[in-house]
Amino acid sequence: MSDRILKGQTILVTGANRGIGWATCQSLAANGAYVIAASRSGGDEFSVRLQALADACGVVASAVSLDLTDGESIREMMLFVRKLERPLTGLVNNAGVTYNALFQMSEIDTAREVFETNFFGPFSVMQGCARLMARHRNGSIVNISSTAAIDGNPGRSVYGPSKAALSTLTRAAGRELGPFGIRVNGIAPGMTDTEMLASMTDEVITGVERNTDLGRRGQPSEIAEAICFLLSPLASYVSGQVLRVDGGMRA
Amino acid sequence: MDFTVPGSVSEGLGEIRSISRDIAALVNVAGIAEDALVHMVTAESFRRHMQINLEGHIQITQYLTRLMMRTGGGSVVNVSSVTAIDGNPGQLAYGASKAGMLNATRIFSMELASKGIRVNAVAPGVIDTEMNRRMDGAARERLLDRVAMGRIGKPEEVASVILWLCSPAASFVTGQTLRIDGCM
Repeated sequence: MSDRILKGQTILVTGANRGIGWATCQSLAANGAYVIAASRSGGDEFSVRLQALADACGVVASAVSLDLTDGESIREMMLFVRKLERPLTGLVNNAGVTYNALFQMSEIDTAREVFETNFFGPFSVMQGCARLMARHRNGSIVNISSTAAIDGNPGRSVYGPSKAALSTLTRAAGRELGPFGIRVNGIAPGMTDTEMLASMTDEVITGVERNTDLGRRGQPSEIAEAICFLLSPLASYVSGQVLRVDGGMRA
Repeated sequence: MDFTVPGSVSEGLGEIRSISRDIAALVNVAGIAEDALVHMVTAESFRRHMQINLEGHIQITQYLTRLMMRTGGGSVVNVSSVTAIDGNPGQLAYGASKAGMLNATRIFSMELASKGIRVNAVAPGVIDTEMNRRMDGAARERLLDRVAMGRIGKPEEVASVILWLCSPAASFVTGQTLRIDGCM
């Protein structure tokens, strides 16, 4: 869309320094939003990159540090958000970790760690943000799930369920928060050109591409566009949904 | 175009072609809803639903996507209904025709995405249209009780989603059905 569909909005993005998270920061800024970019391993390089983006788009952006496995870190970030002069209008729960292992080889301790980052962390962030959004009865939350949450892919018996939990939370929270003027939706990206692809063999990647209507993998910017859409007033009556942005992946 | 009049569709399509052969997007909206309990649905009414809500749209989609293939691609959005997914008592014929549209969406996407044509559907919930204004107040209240956002949707809130799906911003979205229902 050529218009700045997120003008005046303040939006928090987790996992903001790379992949889909960074592409989301770029789309949010280009659409006129104030971006709060949270990441674990941002550092100075990230702050400089974010500032350059904000300058180029004529918006404000802040980098904040966030470790989703640490409750104290989440509380600190929420404190920062609460102290802002502008009300929080959007949240993109993007941060996540991947874990590829056959079911019988999956380590239960690793499985718990994956759930910590992919479900419990986003759960807490959502709670904090929804509390702020409910005050002014306006907010939109987008959780980044995965097609693996729906399809149940081999080798993803931990990652898939962790994202499925997030998808179900999306629906439950959508129902509960609707009366408070908060929309909650999800995106299920298909195979997307990020660092996560490094964990897959070329054979698997080619196989998925061949089994996709568009015959290719997605770009992070294409996922980011869908996120912006769900955050924007264009989706004002869309809530409780998980939109697959997968190029038409076949079962 | 009148989907129930033989020759009307091809005549209309000929007219479209004379105006432009460069069609970027097609939105299939037209539809009827004649509510009846399962034992009261007549064969004529069932056929009418299939003809107008499904067959007519498929015919137009076949024709216009052929034009789109020649110009490098395009986008199709079919307007279905949450009834197609959830089922709704009294809407046997309507639900079947709208469910058919969802399957057609998937097939058209599978066959045409490689030709640069994305095909998606939307499934609106309770929207403030003439179709819903015919409903009595109590039935409307009952439906709205199930909407978490607690209000009826506006036609423009469906239109804005359709617009987005047609736009290049949705370049990796195809074969999907998006509910626009205020979280039912």
